[in-house]
Amino acid sequence: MMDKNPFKHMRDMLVAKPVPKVDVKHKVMAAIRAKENKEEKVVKRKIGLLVTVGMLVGASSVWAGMEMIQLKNEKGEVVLELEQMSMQEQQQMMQQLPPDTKDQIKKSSAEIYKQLDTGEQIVNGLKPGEAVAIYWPVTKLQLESNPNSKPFVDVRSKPFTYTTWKDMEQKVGHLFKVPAEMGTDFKFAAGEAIYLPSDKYDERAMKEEQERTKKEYVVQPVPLSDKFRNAEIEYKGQKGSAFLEVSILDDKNKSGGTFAENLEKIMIGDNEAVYSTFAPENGETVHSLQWVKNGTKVDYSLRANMSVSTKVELLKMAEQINQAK
Amino acid sequence: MEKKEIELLLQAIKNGSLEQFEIIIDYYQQPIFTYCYHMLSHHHEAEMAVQEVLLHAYEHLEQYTTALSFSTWLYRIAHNYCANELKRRKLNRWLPFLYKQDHGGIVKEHIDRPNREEHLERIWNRLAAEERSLVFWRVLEEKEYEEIAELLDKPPEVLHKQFERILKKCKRYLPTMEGVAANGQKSV
Repeated sequence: MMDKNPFKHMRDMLVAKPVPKVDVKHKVMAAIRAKENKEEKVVKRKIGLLVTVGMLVGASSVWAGMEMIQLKNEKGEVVLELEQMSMQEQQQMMQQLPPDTKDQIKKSSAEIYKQLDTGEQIVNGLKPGEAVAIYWPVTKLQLESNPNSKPFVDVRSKPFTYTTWKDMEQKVGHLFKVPAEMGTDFKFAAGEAIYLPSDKYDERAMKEEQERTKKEYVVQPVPLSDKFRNAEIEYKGQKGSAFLEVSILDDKNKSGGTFAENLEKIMIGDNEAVYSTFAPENGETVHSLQWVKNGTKVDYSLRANMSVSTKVELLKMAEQINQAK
Repeated sequence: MEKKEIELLLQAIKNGSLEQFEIIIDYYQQPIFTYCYHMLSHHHEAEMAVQEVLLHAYEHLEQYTTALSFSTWLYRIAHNYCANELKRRKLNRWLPFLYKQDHGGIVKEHIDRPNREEHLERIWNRLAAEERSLVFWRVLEEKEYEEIAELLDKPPEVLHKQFERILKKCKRYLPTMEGVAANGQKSV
């Protein structure tokens, strides 16, 4: 404790007057109970990007949940909750906002999309497995909308890419398995494994650089972590492609939303799954299956255009994915 | 409280036993308040801070892993809260027109001055949030750099150097410290 002697003086001063006693137990517990009661009354709601933008300008609108499907594993435990969202409702809410708020949302959206697009371009220039943190200072518009706005640090990584399952398996085979071929004629064509970038970026240094150089944004390379985020695989067949997305769920990440019009609980062997269809405004109807493989936390989502595979074919492919070893 | 005991309590809370959180509050509210009180130099603000920290901890309990001790995790939340609060005050000073003054006026750091000597207050106001945390944990709590490294998520050697810099900074504003420092006790 030799090295603390120079601070004895300071320490003495810091402790010279005792810190008051505090008791916030009742206030904290009351706040928790009030919040929990409120949450019970409100049907589960999800927040989308537009809402985030809305909040930037002080508007508070939320996606309203319509229907929810719970998937259970072989032990009867809930492993996934999928909630159907209403795009229409959100649009209606947006229309009801005052014109100046709508204008602010529009501007903020444009700003956010620009930042996200720029991030995309920067990532395109990286090598697989490289990651960057992009520092965006608070903009005038954000400050006008919300004085507590914080700079946006967009951390991104370039996925590892593969052309065969054999190669991809080396990287992610310990986490999940998929077949190299499935269905009538679907073959592994391309795969991406995405890992989370480390959060070890120096925001202060980026901030200083931005203030010094007045650049629109500042980019700092960051290492990649070994934490798997998700994988995407394209299987090509004669009629078109089927796409498989794989992620590993954790306890705090077992619910999601979907804009699918129809949700139906279905069985893939003895595994519960959700079958859904979605018809975009300008495009073909897509159908998909999502399930968490029994005995694991691996979340699979398989989708294809309805012109590419029938429901029966999609189910068969899902069975093959579930049986892959 | 033993680590195992805390883990059992946290598990019970996660499983829905809300009353157990009262034990957690009883145990941690004073140390966290003490930290916030020193950081913010303001009784009411520190009391608000400890409430926010405990509420945030409860709402994000799922994110807590035993990789960190629970107290370290709480202190990290408290540090982030206080750092943001200090940043907000600083901005408030420069851009007061941007803020709704929900405290009935801008909070000034010297409101609770009676609890501190004036020259200490002068130094304290010149320290950034991270520097205040470092001084609090190093000087008042007598934590080792390795422990503080966990709290501030920085390598111990970086903190050591940072502490040396703070010492120099303090010497500029606290003449009486020069005597102590010149007394052969140079290292920090």
